[in-house]
Formats: sequence, structure tokens, C-alpha cells
Amino acid sequence: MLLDRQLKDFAKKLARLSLEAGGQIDPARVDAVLASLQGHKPRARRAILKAYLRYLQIEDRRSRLLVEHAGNIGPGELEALRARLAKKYGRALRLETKENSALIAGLRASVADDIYESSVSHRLGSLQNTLG
Amino acid sequence: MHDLLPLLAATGSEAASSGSPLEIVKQIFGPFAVKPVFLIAQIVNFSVVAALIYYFAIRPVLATVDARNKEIASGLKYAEDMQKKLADTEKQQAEVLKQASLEGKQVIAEARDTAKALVEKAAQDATRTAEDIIKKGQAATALERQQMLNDLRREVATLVVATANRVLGRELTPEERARFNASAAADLSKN
Repeated sequence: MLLDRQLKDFAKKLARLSLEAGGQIDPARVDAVLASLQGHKPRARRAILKAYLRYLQIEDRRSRLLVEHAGNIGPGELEALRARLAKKYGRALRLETKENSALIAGLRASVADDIYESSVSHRLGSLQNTLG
Repeated sequence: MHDLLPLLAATGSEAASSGSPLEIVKQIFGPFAVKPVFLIAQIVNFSVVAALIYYFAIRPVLATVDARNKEIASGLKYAEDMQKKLADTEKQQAEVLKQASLEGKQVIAEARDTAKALVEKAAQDATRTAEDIIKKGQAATALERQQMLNDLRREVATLVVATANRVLGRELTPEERARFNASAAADLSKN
């Protein structure tokens, strides 16, 4: 148990070392971390790599801005939104867009577990909750 | 008897002629062979017999009679006392019956008042219960009505939103969507 805890802490530190100054995952640093793990015993290395992968996935989710939209949206608006949320979270965000016709019109932006939405379907849902 | 009369007359005439009383007595009882010694002896014997009879027969009988008289007197007095006690007892009994009658009337009056109070309380309880039932029924009806209204409102809202979804999804032009998206991006950027 104590060993698992130490391995997780070690993997967490490795995941932090793999981030660049803006909070994005740096592939070069990841390569360097993987190279440094070559000297560990196979069994410990496997557990460290699994925990390291999980922490990297968490960091990747925290660095990703997913914008779902219905209809066209200009790159200027998307960039303004990304800059605003990056400033709010204090780290660089990687922008990803996805068409979602269920929104009818409008946007739904999500960073990790936080969701920001301004869409027709959301407003209709609020209206339904208010009336119901 | 007729033979003695001439003898007594002769003796009387002889004693009257001598003059001494003792001689007269002797002349009188002489023909009867009464001698003083025998007479005194007879008197003494009679006295002794009379005394014996008195001490051993009459006196116990008199004592028994006195005792019987005392017992009879005691019995009569006891009977009188018993009659007085009976009279007192009857008087007390009459008083007790009178008191019991009064207490019985009082108990009946209290029981009647209690029964009246119980009946009034039962009536009030029944009225209160009926009012509670009516209130609960009204509340249940109101709640059910409110529930139906809520259900209706929810169904109407669902229907309206579903209709709005279909209409907006079909009717919005790309330009309108783009304009809405720009507005939404501006809103999210502000927040």
C-alpha cells in the first residue's frame, strides 16, 4: 500500500515535469521521462507508467477546450473565448471544435468537468424547467 | 259434740266458783288431759321443727324466689333496654335511609351531569373530527388539483419546448445560427 502511494506520487511528479510553462504537455519532456524510466525494474516501471499515463490524461483533459456548436462560428470568436478561459484557468488551452446540431444554435464550451453553455437548446431546457 | 256441752258448762260453773285464773285454766283443760309439761314440750318441739323447716325449706325457697324475682326484673329491664335500643336503631336506620336517599339523589344528579357533559364532549369531538375530515379532504383535493395542474403545466412545457426545438431546428437559417453563435461566444467570453 505504501509502495503504491509512493509510486503514485512519483508518477505525479513525472507528469508535472512533462508539462511546459503554459501547462501543455511537452512531447520532448515526455520522451525524456520515458527514457529515465528505463533503469527501473520492469514491475515497478509498469506500475509507474500506468499511473503516469493516467495523470497525463488528466492534464490533457485540463488543457483541452472543447467547443461544441450548431452552425458556423468565426475563428475570432473562438480565439477570444479560448483566451478568456485560458486566463481564467491560468494555463494554455488547446482548442477543439465539434459540430452538435442538438444545440440548435449557440455554443457549449467544456474544460475538464466545467461546462459553459449558451445555446438555444439550453435556454429551452431552462424554460421547460421553469414552466415544469 | 253434744255430749261435751254439758261437761263444759259444768266445768265453767266450777271454775267460776273457785276464782284463780290458773285454777280456771286447769279446770278448763283438765278434762282435755292437757298438762303444762307436755304443752311446753310440744311448743318446744313445734318451735324446733318450725325453725328447721324455716332454715332448710322455707329460707332456700324464699332465696330461690328472690333470685327468680331478680332474674325476672333483670329480664324485664333487659327487654325495656332492648326496646329502647330497637327504637334507637330504627331511628338511626331511618336517618341512614334518609341520608342514603339524599346521597343517592346527589349521585344520580352528578351522574346525570357527567353523562350530559360526556354527551356534549362526544358531540364536540364528533364535530371536530368531521371538520378535520372535511379539511383533510379539501386539502387532499387541493393537493390533487395542484398536482394535476403541475402535471399539465409540465406536459405543456414539454410539448412547447419540443415544438420549439423542431421549429427552431428547422426554421433557423445559417446566418441566424452564425449570428447567435457570435452572440453566445461573446456571452461566454464575458462570463
